[in-house]
Amino acid sequence: MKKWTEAYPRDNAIVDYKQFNQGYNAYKSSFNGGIDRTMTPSETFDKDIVKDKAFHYIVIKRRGDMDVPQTDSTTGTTLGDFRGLSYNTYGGGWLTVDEIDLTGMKDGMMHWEFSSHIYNNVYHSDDNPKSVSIRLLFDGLEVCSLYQVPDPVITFRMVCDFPYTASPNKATVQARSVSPSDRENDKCLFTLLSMQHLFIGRWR
Amino acid sequence: MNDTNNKVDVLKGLFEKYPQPADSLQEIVNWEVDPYTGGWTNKIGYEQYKTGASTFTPFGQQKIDSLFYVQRHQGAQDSILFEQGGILYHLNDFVSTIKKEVLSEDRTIPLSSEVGTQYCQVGRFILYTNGYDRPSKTTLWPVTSYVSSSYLIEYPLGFDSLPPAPVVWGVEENPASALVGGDKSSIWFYLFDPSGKGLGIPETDKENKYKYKVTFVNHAGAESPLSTESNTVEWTLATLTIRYALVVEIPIGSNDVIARRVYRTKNFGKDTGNDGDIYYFVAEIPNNRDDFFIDDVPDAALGSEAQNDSDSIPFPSMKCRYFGLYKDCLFIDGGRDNDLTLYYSYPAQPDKYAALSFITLSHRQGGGLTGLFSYFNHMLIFREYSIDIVRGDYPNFKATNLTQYIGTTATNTIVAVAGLGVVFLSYDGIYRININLDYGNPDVDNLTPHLQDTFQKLNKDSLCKATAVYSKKRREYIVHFPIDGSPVNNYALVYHTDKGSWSTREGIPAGSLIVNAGGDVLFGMNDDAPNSNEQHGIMVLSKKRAAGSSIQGGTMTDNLPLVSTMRSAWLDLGDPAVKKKIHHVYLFIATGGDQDIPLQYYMDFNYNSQERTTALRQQRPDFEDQVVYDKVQLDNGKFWEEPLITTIRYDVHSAACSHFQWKINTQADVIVIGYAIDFTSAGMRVIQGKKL
Amino acid sequence: MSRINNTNPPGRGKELTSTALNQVFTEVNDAFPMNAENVRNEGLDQPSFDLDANDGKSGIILVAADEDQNNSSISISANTEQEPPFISSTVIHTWNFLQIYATNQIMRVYWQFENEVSANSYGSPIDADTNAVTWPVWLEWQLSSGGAWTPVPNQSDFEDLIQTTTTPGGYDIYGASSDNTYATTFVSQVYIHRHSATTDYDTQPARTGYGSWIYKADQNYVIYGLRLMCRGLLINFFNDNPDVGSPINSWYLVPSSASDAYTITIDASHIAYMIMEEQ
Repeated sequence: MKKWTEAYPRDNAIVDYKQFNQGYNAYKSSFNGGIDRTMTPSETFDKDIVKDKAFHYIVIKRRGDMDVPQTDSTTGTTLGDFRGLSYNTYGGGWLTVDEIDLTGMKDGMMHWEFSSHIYNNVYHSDDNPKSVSIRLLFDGLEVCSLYQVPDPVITFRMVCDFPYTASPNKATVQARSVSPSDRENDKCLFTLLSMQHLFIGRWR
Repeated sequence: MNDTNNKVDVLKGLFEKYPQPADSLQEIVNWEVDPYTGGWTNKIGYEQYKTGASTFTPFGQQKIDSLFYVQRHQGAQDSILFEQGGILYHLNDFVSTIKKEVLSEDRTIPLSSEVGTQYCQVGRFILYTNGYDRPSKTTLWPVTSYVSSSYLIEYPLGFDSLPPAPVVWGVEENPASALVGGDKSSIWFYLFDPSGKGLGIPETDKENKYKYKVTFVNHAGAESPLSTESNTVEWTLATLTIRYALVVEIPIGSNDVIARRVYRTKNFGKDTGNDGDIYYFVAEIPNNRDDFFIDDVPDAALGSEAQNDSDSIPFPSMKCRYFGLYKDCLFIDGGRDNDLTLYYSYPAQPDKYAALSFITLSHRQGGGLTGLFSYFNHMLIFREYSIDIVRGDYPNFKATNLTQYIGTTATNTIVAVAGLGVVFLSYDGIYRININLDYGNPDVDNLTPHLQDTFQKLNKDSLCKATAVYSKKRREYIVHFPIDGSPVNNYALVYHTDKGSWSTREGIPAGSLIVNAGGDVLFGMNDDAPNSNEQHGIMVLSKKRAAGSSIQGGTMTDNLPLVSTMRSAWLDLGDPAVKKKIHHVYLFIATGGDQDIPLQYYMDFNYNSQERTTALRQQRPDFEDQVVYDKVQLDNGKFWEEPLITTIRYDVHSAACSHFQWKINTQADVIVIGYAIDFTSAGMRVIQGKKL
Repeated sequence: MSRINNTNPPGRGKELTSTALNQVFTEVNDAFPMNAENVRNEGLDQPSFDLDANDGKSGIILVAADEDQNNSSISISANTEQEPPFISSTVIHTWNFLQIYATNQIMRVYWQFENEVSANSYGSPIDADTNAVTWPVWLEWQLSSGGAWTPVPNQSDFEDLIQTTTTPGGYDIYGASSDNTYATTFVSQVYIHRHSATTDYDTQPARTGYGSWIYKADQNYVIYGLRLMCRGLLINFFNDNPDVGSPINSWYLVPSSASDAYTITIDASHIAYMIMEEQ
């Protein structure tokens, strides 16, 4: 902290060690853990002076394709069909398709990008419109949602920014399609491919 | 013939009445308490804020009208706001060249009978007001250095007025039409749309009507009053059975608005039975940019009811002068034209006020409001001639009277001092209030009944200029105020908690005082500097033996130290009717080296015919001298010293007198602990009194 | 060491020597240079840092950022070959620049492009079962001046041999497996759906395609350019007998009946990148 005169020996004053220490200690204490912004020059510190994770931390995860217990092994046998869940194994509702444990993040604002390719079996959409919805949860709270994508194949990216508390954190991706109607096939209903995540935690 | 000795081991402080206790002092100017011995030391002075600077940059020559200190992270980041010449600046002392950044311009400069800008910290906001200019607030972080003052943004406190009413467009009742009117929109949903979105009854020949209101949300999170209502949009379907989405133009707020909230009635067409005066929440637009909004929210999906018109009103006191923070609510006065009204905000929302959130103070004899101070479990309302208190919880605050006939206009002297309570300067003394109303009766005491001489000189008309702080580092309550008709502060009283007594200070030109996180006392100059060579700006009380500095011959030169005066009480040494011959005065000091101090002495209340002794060294008289600076050599077998308590004997050749007083008046450094007097009383008594 | 010790301060009765006094002062010198120990908690503020007022690329968090727009239009015809050599992939947008990309830094590339697909008619190999017929648009980079362009890490050019045929006289399958499509945008050609007991093939309308690629550098790179490529068509399938790795969903570069049977036209495109410090 800023200091002013703490001791001022006059000429002909006794050589008082208390006054000497009082004056000297004031500045020594400033150096020993007291340097603040009034003592540092401006626009000098660059990346070399900054410790890892002083300001932020970035985590990238490539997660491959959606792999859930509901995968139907009878799918993917013909051209035009992927291996994935079908109406033989899925009746509707949210599924957890990816879960990531994050470490190393401090309290702050999180920027999360999730990108993936969606495959959507739309053949019977006239009777029962097919769509894929995705929601992102961070530490159990929904932070982003993608509502009813109808395309047969599309590449997309979800981006959200939200405040969060320090690690450990759990990032979850859930996806769902629609419930079956009377007229469906038993091919792969939907899947997510080449899922990748970018997490930027920012606290200063 | 008796040879007697009158000893005072430890000197106390100032005492202006008569008779005076032997351990008090008639005059004690420019001293502080020495922590090692408990005596008085005069190692004080002041220096400019930017140590070692060759100019007084960045301060202007004008006096400093107000000062405010705010810090975070235990003083690692501290900021000073100061006002000079009608401009409120932020002192930017953390870039390579110290500079000032403008926060607020064209401010009214206070008169000598007006208290200056008042400040208050609420959360991360600094609020400020002066009774003339718009009360405003700012945040002092984040700070950047390279774009000057762009980090300083002045936001209004509270909302100026109701937001402008929104404008809702009509709907095109024939969506097949390719030509849509200029003030109509054509966004609609089929009846069987599974999303359920859209407004209106999707049946023919049914009347549909809606109205809108908006509010602003500012970046402190407060919601403004509701706007007036929009026009009514109405339609009746002829053939198609559809629902519409409506286009609403929404107003854009001032620079501190970060979001708008849209409210709407339910469909109050004649076929619905809904009330067209109840508004419900539709959506929040999280920006201050979009100027229109498309509403597709059906009545069933509307949110909760909007606040009442009386739940949030425009800022009730644009000319407020004082702030107080109590139970998380901001209290403001009604301004100088409405000085008996006190308004209070919602908890944690200093911008938001309800219509009935005010208190009217009682009885006019108390005078207008002059200050608000939150203390313990209540808030003190200082008025010109009385003190009231506010107790209770939001929204049921109540004001009652605490004392009558004791009040103050010295708003800036109200300080909470540990061990004393709330201390403030009034017209006839310094008072303290020490109360805990839950447990006992209040104490309102005059701390200075023995200092009436000083208070006779007090300039009551400019008392609002008085300023005070308590410094934990110095353990002093310091109050500067104007005396002898001066419109600026030219005198100071200091209460030393270590000694429990008072001293005075002269020659320290403090217009406003603040204390920083480390306990250092900073002050702004009390008057305009006559030219650029004389000191101006912010100074700091320190141990430097100089009264500031000035530019002489182009170079910044330290001024001479303050003159320190210590005058003992008028001592009658037992019996004022007996004449005594004084032989010696012994001063108990802590050694100070070869700095010579002469003693002056007076007899029988004479003030002009002073006598003076020879100047004596502050060394122990019967031992080898301690080594001193400028004479000692290193590596010469000498040792570090410390001040040693010793007795210095001054020989006084006085005639017989009833009362005796000694005085020291010096710019050298000295520590005085106590004294003793050697005298002889021959039994001689005072002669008969004079007659016509 | 940056803490200033005071091993021998002046005390009562200690001798006044030049040695002792100098020791007190030089202990300060020994403590330089200052480091984190000397700075108060929260003692540094924004003005202390060498930030950049113009574009924020100070190197502390953001190292570099840039963007490029291409307004020209190009049409890509479908591949007609069953086996190599395939119709070459087409360059959509080339962007040459010089950028150092150091180990552990994070690179983020984002692109978007206007596109419109068309078809003369729908026939082999597209039928009612081939749900996801698509054009891939992917990202490549150039790592030496005037040198070869390669797909960025974790990306393929859709000419990989992913399944060697086991059928006598059959054809090998070329394309890409799903773990090599991290820098791809898939553009759907057709919406195949059952409609009144027959199958309808609805060509997709004009749209904008979006893509992104993120990567943490495993070594030092010098990037001389980025470009977007396109070819087609791909049809999805499950590769249960891949040449490399485990069974995985994959994309098959199919031959179309004629080169003008299916076309994608890509109009304006935009590429932007950011390079950031990981921490």
